[in-house]
Amino acid sequence: MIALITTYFLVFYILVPGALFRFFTSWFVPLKLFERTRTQEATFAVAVALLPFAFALFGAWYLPVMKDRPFSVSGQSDSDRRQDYHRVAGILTSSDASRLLAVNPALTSPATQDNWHALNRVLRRQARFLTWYFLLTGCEGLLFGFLAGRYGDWKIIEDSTAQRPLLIRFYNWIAPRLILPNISEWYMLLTDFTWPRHEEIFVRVDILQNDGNLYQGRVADYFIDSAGKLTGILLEHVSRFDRQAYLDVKGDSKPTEYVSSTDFWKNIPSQNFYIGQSSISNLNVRFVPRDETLISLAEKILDNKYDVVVTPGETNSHQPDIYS
Amino acid sequence: MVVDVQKLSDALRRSSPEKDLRRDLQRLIDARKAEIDSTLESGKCYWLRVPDGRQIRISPRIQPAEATQ
Repeated sequence: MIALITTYFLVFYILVPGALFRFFTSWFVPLKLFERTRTQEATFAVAVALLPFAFALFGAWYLPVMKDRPFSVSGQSDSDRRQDYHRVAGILTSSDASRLLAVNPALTSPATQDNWHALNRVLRRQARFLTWYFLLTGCEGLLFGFLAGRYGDWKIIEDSTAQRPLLIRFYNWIAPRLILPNISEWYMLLTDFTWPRHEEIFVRVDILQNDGNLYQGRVADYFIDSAGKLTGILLEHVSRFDRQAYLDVKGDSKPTEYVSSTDFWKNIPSQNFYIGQSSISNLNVRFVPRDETLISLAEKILDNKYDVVVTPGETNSHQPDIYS
Repeated sequence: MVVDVQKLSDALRRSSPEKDLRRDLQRLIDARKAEIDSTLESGKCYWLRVPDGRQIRISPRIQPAEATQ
């Protein structure tokens, strides 16, 4: 019976809140994933559940709505509650619980009836407490996710001299301590998490493979395993550098002649180009401003004499290349 | 992999994507200015590949009067 009670507390008071927190946070940002031991998982869950637990307990005892709803019970005083828990603890630790909870009408006594009533009230109190506890843990997860999701907008850059509101300064104090340590580093590196949303930054990568192939493309998605390691990257608008052709042309040219490498990029006609981690030798990450910024910069550099358009990838010099 | 995400975040925010792009673009266009001008003067478009992989098409500016004709 003791094992059963321990399991109940472990599952409903520690593991379920931890899972709820992760679930709701993941609506905004992915948390750091790695294979934890049971102790590590329990430590994480306890840290996460501490505040909701304290608030739910306080609310279930003292706050007007929380102490009655849902699963209301008669006998709301502290002594009633203590008496019920004492009685139920006695039943659960008894070596002969069946005697105390006799279901045979012939054996039913007023004491047995009281035991059943106490058990019912305790179950209803537990259900009420857990309802608020889970709700508050979910809210905490949502709040954490929301705050983490605003990191790019609210992060104060070190060299910024602008005076920021107190709340933003508090956020910048708390973010490195609570939020960042729980965010996956790949999420930070391969998404626009660090940048303000209005800047519409996106991520492009140059990937050098073990066999010497060089690919360039926009990060559409990435995948990590349960240990938090990168397993692969999904790219879109991909191009491959034709190194052999470049070397051939360079070898045939005069030593003084400049051969531009930009002409040797070939587009790959795929919106879902997956590169597995095992074939990645080197990863160069670029944070790239939106197309409008590129256009306006190019027009400015060209003294506004010409029209500039960002094209989806076709050029007049290369046909799409089936990757080899 | 153990990464100091705070340092990573600071390092990322110290860089400026727009400044980097401006510098790359300036260098690229300066190196090809003559080529761009001659191509566009002959009425053709010029395609330029930006180091981040995007491609831009530079074409002669159509004057509003020409556009309405």
